[in-house]
Amino acid sequence: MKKKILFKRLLLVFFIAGTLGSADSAYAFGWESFEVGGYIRNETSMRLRDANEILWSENIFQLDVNTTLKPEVAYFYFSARLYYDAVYDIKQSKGFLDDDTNRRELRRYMATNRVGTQADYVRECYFDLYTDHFDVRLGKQQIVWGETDAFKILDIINPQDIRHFNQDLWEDSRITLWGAKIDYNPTLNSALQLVILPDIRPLYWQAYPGRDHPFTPLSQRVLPPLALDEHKVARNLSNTEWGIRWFQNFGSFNYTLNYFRHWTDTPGAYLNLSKFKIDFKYKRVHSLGGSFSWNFTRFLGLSSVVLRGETVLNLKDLQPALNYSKGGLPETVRSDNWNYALTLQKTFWQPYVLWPSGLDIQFYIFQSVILDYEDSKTKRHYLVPQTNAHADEFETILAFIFTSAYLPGEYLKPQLLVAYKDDGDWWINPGVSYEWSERVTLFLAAHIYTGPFDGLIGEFQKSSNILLRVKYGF
Amino acid sequence: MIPTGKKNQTVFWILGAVFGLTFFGMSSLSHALDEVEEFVTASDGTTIPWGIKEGYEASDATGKNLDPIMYYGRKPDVAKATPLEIEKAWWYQIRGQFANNLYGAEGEKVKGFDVGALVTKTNKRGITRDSATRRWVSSWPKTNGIDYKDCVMFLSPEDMRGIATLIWYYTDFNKDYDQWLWVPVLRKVRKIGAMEGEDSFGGMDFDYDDMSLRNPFQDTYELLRIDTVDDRFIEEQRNIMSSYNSKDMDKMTEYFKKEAYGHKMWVMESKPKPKRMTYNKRIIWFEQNIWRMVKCDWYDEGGRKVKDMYRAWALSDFYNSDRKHTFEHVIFAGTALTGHHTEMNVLKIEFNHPKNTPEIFTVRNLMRKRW
Repeated sequence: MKKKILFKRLLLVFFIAGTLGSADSAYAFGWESFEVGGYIRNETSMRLRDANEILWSENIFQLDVNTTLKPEVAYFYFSARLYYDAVYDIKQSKGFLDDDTNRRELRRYMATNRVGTQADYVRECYFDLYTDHFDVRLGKQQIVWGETDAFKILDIINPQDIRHFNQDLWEDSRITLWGAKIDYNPTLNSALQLVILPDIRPLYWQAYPGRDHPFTPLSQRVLPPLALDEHKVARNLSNTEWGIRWFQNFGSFNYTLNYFRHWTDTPGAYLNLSKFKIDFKYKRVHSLGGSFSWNFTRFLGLSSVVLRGETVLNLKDLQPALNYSKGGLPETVRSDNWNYALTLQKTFWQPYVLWPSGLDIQFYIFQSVILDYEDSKTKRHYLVPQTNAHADEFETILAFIFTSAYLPGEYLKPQLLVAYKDDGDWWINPGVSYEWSERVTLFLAAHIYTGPFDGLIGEFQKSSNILLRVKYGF
Repeated sequence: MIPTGKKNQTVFWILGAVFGLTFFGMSSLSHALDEVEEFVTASDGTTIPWGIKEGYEASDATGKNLDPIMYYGRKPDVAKATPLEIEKAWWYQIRGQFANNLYGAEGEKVKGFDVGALVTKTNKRGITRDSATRRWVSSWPKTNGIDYKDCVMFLSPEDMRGIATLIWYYTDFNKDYDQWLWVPVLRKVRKIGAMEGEDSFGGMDFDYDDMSLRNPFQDTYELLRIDTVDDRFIEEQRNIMSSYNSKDMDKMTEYFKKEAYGHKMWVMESKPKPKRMTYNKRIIWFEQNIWRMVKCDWYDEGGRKVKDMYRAWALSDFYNSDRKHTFEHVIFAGTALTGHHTEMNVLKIEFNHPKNTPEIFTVRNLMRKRW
């Protein structure tokens, strides 16, 4: 009964806030220095193997307020979010919520707002200050590096909330952080960016280790029955994360060079047999990288294509392994890895029924290389962090993306992602969004995962799902 | 800080050196290039600061240059004008708009947002989709081969709010323009491929050539006849627009009756030199008094009409000045084969606006947009 009352109250709050908070109302009240927007959204996902099993029914109310403190100079932006995943209050007689203990624990972690996740009450909150040569953003924010869309290579500033694996929009999946971003623009088309982040947060896993959620990775499901001890990084000056980025735009070609001194987003697991526990520890990593976009009038016989790329070299990253000298016991070691992605993009602007605003086709190649791999043959055996499967020296993913979603649009926007990983994993993601009215958008998509049971994508083959998203914007 | 291991140290120092050299080298180079952008060189060789460039009308007396990439044209004699001269004059006039720091905003408050233009797309079944935009355009002569830059920001519908595009066009007609798209959902600026002349512009019935500048030397021209804006002509156009159920039909009629009635028009046939997929020829009506295109029909190889277009012109203000420059305030385009049509209403245009600054046309500015 209490839950029903709570739900009704939430709906009432959504309705009142949505009405009062609309841009029309802000204008009607004469708050002309305020621009107000936001949305109410429901996203419900069902397991493909059993349409009766709901994986999540996520409700979000987001209110965005932009205040002009001084035109062209100072702005304040605030974005608040109410979050409620109703699936934990829906009676299901089977599936991952059939077990009451599991349901209660997952509900505690995932049903409502939680600090340090995508469901934080304060999504973003920052001041912007603009001068001739400086753009300064102070507060809770998302800082995005990199050029490619399908895989995060250089987008390493904000940790991710991967409760829904990689299905969430990137804007949603980033965990926002308190900090400062200062861009110094020595010329019109170049910028040196300094990032300072005292707010250190890890990646948000699905609930917590050992719990059965459709997207809890294999390595977390099969932990031995030992005590788990997470050593969180203390927030102090010496632990502060910082980075710099140099950006330059020549028109047809633009590039960045990046460096980020940070803590690992996921902890390394250190077995402590004497105390019958596993210590989870975060470590400092150097990340050096770069990105570029290059517009070609002609390229490999194609006209008007864009080549994009990004790369990152992680020094002293964490890598799970089995130690030969210790009888094959699991351990975490420091090793270097290098990741890159290249994208070739061609846009077909001619309208057709299914893509009236044009069709964007992208081909991706993504590779990850373990630079210390020779160790794997002699001293230790490297593992894939998510699944504890054998790690290859080279991991390669190829992908095609067909989309009209980014282009100034029409009513109907189809999209299709097909990704193949060299171990035999496939991720197929067809989707279509439909603009029901100026304010209401529907989005229907399927995420189909196949491949080996301990593959990066294949491990979620039982969690292939279909989802419907309804969004009311104001 | 410095990694251990010979291999890692080598990689570290190489990357460090590349980083450092690129930063200092490119920084100085880029600065040198950008310095040029503060000034504009007119066709008479004078250098004038940003923001006081003159348009076609002002240069009429002094224009010496017929090079189509220069901004100062010479208006041909109406009686002696050849078809190519008419087309080139049209090109100069549009170019003059861009040369004068076009600022399309603050026309109306739509849902609290300053809007410069409203676009309505309507399909055969009468279902409409509205969007609202702001626009900044400015020319950048003799700067890295850049011709002009164009920034458009979408304010509605909801799912497009905040999307902004930046385009740099080049004086070299054979070089693709560069386009960046700010996608708020991604929090990224994406570089996207260029459109070609007959490609659809944002799902509208306007193609890329309609919204930018078509190289006049890409077509051949033939003067067919001289026509007059009279009751017969106006009625014919009303019939065409009503076949699309145009909501702006009365606005166009009013334009023809009040602003252009009795005026002579050149009716020209224009054929593209490189063959086009969607059309074989265009029939264009240029009004002689203002040297502007008021109507254009597209035909395919079989002689079927594939598209209609109308443009209504009005005088727009220069900021803080008595000067005026013509600008399209209503543009209609209908695709005859599908019945789909697009109507653009420009609510306000100002030239030489102080808000149209070089900083507008940068990726940095795109990333400032929340919506």
